[in-house]
Amino acid sequence: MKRKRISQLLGLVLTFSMVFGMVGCGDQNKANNSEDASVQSNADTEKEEESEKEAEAVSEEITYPLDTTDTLTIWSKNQIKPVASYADYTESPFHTGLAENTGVEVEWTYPAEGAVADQAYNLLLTEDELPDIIFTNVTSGEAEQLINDGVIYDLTEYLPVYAPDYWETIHKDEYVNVLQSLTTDSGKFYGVENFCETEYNVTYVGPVIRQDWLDELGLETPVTMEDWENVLVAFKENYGATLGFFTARLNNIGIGSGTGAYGTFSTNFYVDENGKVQLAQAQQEWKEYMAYLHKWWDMGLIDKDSITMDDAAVRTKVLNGEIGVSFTACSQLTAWVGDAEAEGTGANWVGFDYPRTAAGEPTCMIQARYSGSQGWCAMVTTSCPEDKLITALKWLNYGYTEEGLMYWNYGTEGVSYYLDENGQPQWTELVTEDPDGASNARVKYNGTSGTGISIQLAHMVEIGFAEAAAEAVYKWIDNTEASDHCLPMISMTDEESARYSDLMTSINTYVEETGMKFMTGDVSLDDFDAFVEELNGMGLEEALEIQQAAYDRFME
Amino acid sequence: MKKLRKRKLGDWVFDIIIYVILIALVIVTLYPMWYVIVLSFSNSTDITKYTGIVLWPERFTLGAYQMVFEHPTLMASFKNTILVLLGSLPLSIILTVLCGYFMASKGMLWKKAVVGLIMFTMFFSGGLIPGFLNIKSLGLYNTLWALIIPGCISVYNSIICKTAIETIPESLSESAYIDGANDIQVIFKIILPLIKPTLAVLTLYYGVARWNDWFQASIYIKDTNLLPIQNIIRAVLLENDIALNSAGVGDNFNTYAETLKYAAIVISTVPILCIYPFLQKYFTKGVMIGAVKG
Amino acid sequence: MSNLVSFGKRAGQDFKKNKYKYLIVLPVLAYFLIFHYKPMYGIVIAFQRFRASVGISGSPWIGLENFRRFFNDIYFWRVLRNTFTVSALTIVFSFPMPILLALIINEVQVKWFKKTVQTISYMPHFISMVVVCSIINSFCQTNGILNEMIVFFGGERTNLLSEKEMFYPIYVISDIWQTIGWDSIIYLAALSGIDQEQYEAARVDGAGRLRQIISITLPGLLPTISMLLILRLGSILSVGYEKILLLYQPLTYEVADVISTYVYRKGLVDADFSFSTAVGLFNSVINIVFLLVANKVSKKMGQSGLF
Repeated sequence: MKRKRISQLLGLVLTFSMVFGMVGCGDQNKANNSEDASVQSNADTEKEEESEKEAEAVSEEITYPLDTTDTLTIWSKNQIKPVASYADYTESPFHTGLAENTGVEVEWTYPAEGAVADQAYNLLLTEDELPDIIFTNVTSGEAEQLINDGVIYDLTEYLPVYAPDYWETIHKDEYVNVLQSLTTDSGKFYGVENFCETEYNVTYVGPVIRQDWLDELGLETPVTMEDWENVLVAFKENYGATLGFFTARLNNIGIGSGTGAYGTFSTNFYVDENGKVQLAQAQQEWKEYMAYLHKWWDMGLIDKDSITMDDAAVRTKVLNGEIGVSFTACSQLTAWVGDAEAEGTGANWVGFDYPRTAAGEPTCMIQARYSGSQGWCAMVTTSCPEDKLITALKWLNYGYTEEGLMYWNYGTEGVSYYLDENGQPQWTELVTEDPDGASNARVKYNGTSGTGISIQLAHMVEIGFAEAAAEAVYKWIDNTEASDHCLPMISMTDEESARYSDLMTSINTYVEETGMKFMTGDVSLDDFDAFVEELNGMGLEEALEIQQAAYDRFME
Repeated sequence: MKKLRKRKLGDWVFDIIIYVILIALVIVTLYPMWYVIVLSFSNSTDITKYTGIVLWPERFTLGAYQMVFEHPTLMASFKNTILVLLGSLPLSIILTVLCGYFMASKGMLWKKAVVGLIMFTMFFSGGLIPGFLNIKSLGLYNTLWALIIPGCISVYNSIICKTAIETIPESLSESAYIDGANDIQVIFKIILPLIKPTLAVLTLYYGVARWNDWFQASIYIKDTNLLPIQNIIRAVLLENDIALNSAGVGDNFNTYAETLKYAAIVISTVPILCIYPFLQKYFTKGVMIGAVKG
Repeated sequence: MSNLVSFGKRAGQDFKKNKYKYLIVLPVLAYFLIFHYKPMYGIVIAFQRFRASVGISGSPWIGLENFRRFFNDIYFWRVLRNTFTVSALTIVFSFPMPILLALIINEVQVKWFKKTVQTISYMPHFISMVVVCSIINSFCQTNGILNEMIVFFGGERTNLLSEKEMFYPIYVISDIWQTIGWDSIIYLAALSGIDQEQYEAARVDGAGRLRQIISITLPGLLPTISMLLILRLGSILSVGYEKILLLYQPLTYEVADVISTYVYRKGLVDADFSFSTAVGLFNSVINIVFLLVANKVSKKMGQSGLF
């Protein structure tokens, strides 16, 4: 749901941004980013032993390149795509190198240029002869349906045998919470999932501030909402600058943690102390949050354009010194830092903690739970004959082997990356000095810049950011102790999800609309109770019940 | 200039009002267009500094254009679009005239039924997937014919054509019938010369619609080297926007990202704008019915 | 029985008399049958919960459920009202503008000026919606060109796009900007068919320019105007989602949310073919009713109508 909403706000053309729309999250699982993912998890859980036993029984040693004459066809929903300057995958270093390393010739196809990806996917499904592998984002409910319709293989029995490294990966400690979401309700494994190494990969939005102004005015980094207000007032008086943001960035999480609220303008569900699923916007804390926003709006502390600004517009105001505090993403922060250097504005943007109800209190931050998986997976279709299925799975397994992991993330050593004195991969000049820009260049050599059939390493992401942005992510991850309140990736039955999405369309609209009106004062906060009542009238309780049921099933 | 003879004061006032209105319209229309052009020649960092009225790029650059033109399949897509236009325009015009002529004719027993059948398709369609399956079963899938034949008659345009034909006095075709002409001869000898301005409009409507269309190709074409220009332009826009807004992974940022979309618009607009002057001469008044008859 | 016989006779005569006309329409009919009627069975998915992987034959039937979902939605009336409002406003304000422009351009005597104006005025038609909307957005910002003007005239700076009252004016004015030139082309074509002798005669009678416009030019345009108006009314519920989606935001939903954006927001444009087909059916039925009524009225008023 969240992903959808963001993309709507970004407009039509941004449908693809869904791919990246996963909202970041912090949780107890604070892996150090320098930890190489290839390092084996040292804890041998029962589960792992079990699976290894299974695997040992039949799995054969897989050595790459594979000795096979099979060729595979794969359709990918615009991920793992060669950069635009190549005519097709046969020119792309990553794709040709992958074929070489795995010993399997793969024919890559994608939706036609400029096509609507979801539509292309649906048309694909109507064909009699499907490609061997489909890489797309599916929910487990949809996957179950596809298995029942005989479109894709149920991989439960095949994975431990023919994709042992993948099997091992998903049974690692850090992904124990996720394992359940990789199967359908009836416990079938339906594909090889894309993974993120740590919460670093999926955390990318948070508060940022002009540190140079704070220093000039001798102010501390704000912690509570009162601090925020003081800083905003000081910024306004001294620099005429405000709090300005792109609402899509703020919508899910925002700075509600300052009052203990769990969301801004987009509906957000969380689990309360009693294990009950609740809607953030129906709580008193959220009312307080809105009261702050309204107060700041009236005082002129919030940029009046914030409601309609997109990233580009925010960036303009940032460059012109009209914004002093914001809420944004690393990629934007990287751009701002670049602008400030290029124009010599002297602006020093840094990321800082989410606000707290009081100093020393936990931030009560709630981001989407870091789940490891991003919901993208490679499914093998039944058009692939059973003997070729083995090659397909071995090929899919490559991204989860030690060697394959490095290749999918950094390309070839000595070509696109080298190991620095700490043994950390760094991009070579071939990448950093590429005339198409470093970000395009990375995509030429790696397959995990978006989502790939591998694990996206945190270090790979980090070395793509400007330093300030890379550091900001650590700030945003730190001290987010409220992850227990995070809803896990629960799965609903077909009927539940149909009813749920029906109810939620109206509720989403109403919350977003009224939330903003609370902020601007078009609707008085005295009407908050009426607002909650209206929500109930729209079937909020039923939506909560559906969520609760799915959550309870998950917890079992 | 001969007409200057004796102009009344009222005429002068009338002229002044007209020119003032048109000049105002030109300015209002041109400024946003100019804005697009200026942005297309700027680099993205400069764009962020533009506020108020923008008249000239801060630092003139062709970078965005270069990026669009570097797309490996852009030139091939130009060729595809031209082929589609060459194939579909004659087909469209002929079929539309036939359709319009039938709709304008009177006295056929089945006219109501046939016209109703045609009009019905303005409102109801089988939708995306049956349409797709149909094209596949006809063997048109992934060929340029899939962009030429489907959509080659627009009911809307047929009605425009029908209205134009109806303005021709019936006496003209009736006298032709008496001379022993059949309907096909009437169309070519009498109707077509008289509705030239409308034919020009139809050419423009069909041509521009084909030029701007990306949707049909996104469904019916699989190979990148068969795609028309708009799909490539759209891909450039989309990729660029993903790059700008993707979060989480990398900075994904380059100097021309934002200006790319403006350059893409200019590139995809200029060729089609060039067609207009050629058609314009058909819109000048004075096509006199009597003159053609003789 | 005798009816049938006489009908057969009439049909035979009709065919004999009009065989060329039927021959002419044959390729046209073939096109519509093959490309429109053959896939028409797809409409039935409005009554299904359609899944692409099993196709129409395998998808479950759910009766009127999709329609019920639409009609029972709390926002149904709001989006219906807004759709009508947006459509009505564009008909009242945008529709006459190209006619006016064509009339004015027709009065220009200087050829190069006339051509230049025409060419420039139709250029906005080619700018894609995304770019048009990003221009509108930047013009409406608190420091945008429109606000500079408002401040110049003593107004107060606001973000125009977050003002509920400003949504329709912004939508309609930009719509006029986009369409005025392009839509005037067809009127210019129609104008070129008006007999010049009529003007000569009027001048001899001493009629002024305005008089000539009212009594010669406008009546000459009337068939075109009435045809386009009928067609426009026949798409009264078809307000596209692209522009609104790019311009509205939660503060203006109240006035700006239309059927197509509602369907889009439902997240179903691409995925739930069944629901969007159901809504599409509803739209079509309303559109047809409007078209038929408009056609009837037009005929009553002495115009030829569409059929």
